[in-house]
Amino acid sequence: MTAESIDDVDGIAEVGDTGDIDAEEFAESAPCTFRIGDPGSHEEVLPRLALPAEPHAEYGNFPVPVCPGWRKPDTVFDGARHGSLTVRAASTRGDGHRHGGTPRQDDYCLYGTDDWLVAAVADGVSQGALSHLAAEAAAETGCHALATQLRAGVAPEELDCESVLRDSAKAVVRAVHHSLARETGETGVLPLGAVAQLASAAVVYAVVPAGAAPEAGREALLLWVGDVTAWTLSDAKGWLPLTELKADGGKKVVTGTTAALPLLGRESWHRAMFTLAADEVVVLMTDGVGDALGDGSGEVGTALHSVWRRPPEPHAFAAQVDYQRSTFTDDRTVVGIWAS
Amino acid sequence: MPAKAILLPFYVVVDSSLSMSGEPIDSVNDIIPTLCDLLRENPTLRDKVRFSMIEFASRADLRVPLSDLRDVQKPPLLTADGATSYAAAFRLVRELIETDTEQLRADDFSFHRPAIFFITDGEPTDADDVWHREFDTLVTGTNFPNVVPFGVGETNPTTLNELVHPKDRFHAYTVAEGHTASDAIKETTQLLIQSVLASAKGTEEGADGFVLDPDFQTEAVIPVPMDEDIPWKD
Repeated sequence: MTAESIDDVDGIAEVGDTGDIDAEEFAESAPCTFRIGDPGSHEEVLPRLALPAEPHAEYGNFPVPVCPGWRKPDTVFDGARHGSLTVRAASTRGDGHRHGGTPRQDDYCLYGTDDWLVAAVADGVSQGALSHLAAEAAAETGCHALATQLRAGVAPEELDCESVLRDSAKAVVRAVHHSLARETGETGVLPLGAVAQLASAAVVYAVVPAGAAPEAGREALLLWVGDVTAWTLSDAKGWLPLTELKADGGKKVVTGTTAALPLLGRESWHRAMFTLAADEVVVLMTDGVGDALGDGSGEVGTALHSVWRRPPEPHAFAAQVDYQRSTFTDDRTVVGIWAS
Repeated sequence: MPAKAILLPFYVVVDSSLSMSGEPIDSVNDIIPTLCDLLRENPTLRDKVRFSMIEFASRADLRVPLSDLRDVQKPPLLTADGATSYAAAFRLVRELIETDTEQLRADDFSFHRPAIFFITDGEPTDADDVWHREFDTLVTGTNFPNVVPFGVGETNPTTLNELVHPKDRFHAYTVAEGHTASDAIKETTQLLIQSVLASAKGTEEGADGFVLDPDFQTEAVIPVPMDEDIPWKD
């Protein structure tokens, strides 16, 4: 949220009377919490419903409308078997957005075909007022585009990734125009730069074969733009990054810039094939989890490893993704795919 | 090892020479209580903010060591007296940033680049080369801080401009014509407080760290133009 909207938040706090239940009671009423280290002021956060933002900026002829998609639930999760794979997914609103009454900007998508599981995790760039739409559009469209090629018999290593990302980028642009048109009746075309300022998202896709595992493990594909991360996790090797980590492993002065759709440069996206062994889980995550995980060697890595040895019960998985830890207040999204 | 938490360290370095006595120093004394009140309403921001206060006159003294504001029970009141040694102030804040950041690392914390609000109402009483040398050392280390200077009295704008770091991101601030030093410092402390909140909020949204609150409209203190030829009356 920009500093501008701090005033909005104050305004909402004054108008909406939240005096009936205080933050402490709210926390006590939560039966299922997962703490890693110092929870910080988590218990003092009284989540507010995401309210539509006031129109607050003009982009060309398009006033930013009452924020479409503001009804996004605080938390969504899934648990499923697909072929011989087990999948868990959860996307939870960060304490910062909860406190401010703004929507979750992360999203995920799971897409099963007869032979494949396609999954995506997307992180809407927080400066964009409509970035939650970008995350949703990029996750869904990319999965669909990958599944379409896979159904046509293209092998993972042969997939046309650039066209998948172009489809995702177009979907972000369409989602923004669609919502502006719906809210304002305007039907003009915004320049790409203006769309990106309103809505953009980092995203990672994984394509994993769903059939019985060959002895050598499953050959799987990763495709990503921006600072979302993917890992394998196993008892034998612990957390192993499949995407590049932030250069300093969280040790130096922290900075944050990231590539994001709908902007797509030749250098800004990556693909990699990897082998998923039978005793491994592949974990896709947004930086709300990734920043605290670092290189996997700290207490967050240890705690999540201990509960993700086997697929947790789906509600529990969502609570684990929503772990409490001081200063880590961003939205969090994780998809875990267990090989057995 | 990944960090236990990611913090945002602020250092308020305030001139407590005699000319600051009265209303100006009272405004400075209000910073911590006001920040504590505002952060109480913003628990997720409070977890990130670490705050330190240093006063300087003929020498520099640490008044509030870098702390979680919850732990600052009763902030010590600053009093005003003595000369205006910029050199002593820069030396002390540099040493503090060094030891504080070392300690944060040792405690498994990570942090954004430290920010210094430098508030003065006068010209340095040190020799020019002495305070320049101390300033250069302050802003050239690995954990060099962002520095935003506020001249709330008779400080030469040219001097103030030399205290900005980095110069492509921040400005110096000076008293606007027709406003008193006392108005200027009141507004400076409000801008400072709002900027602490805006910075913490910004990091929640993936920003780099310290920002001056872009929505705070100042009247009594205004940015000094970066132009080389600032008209200055002797």
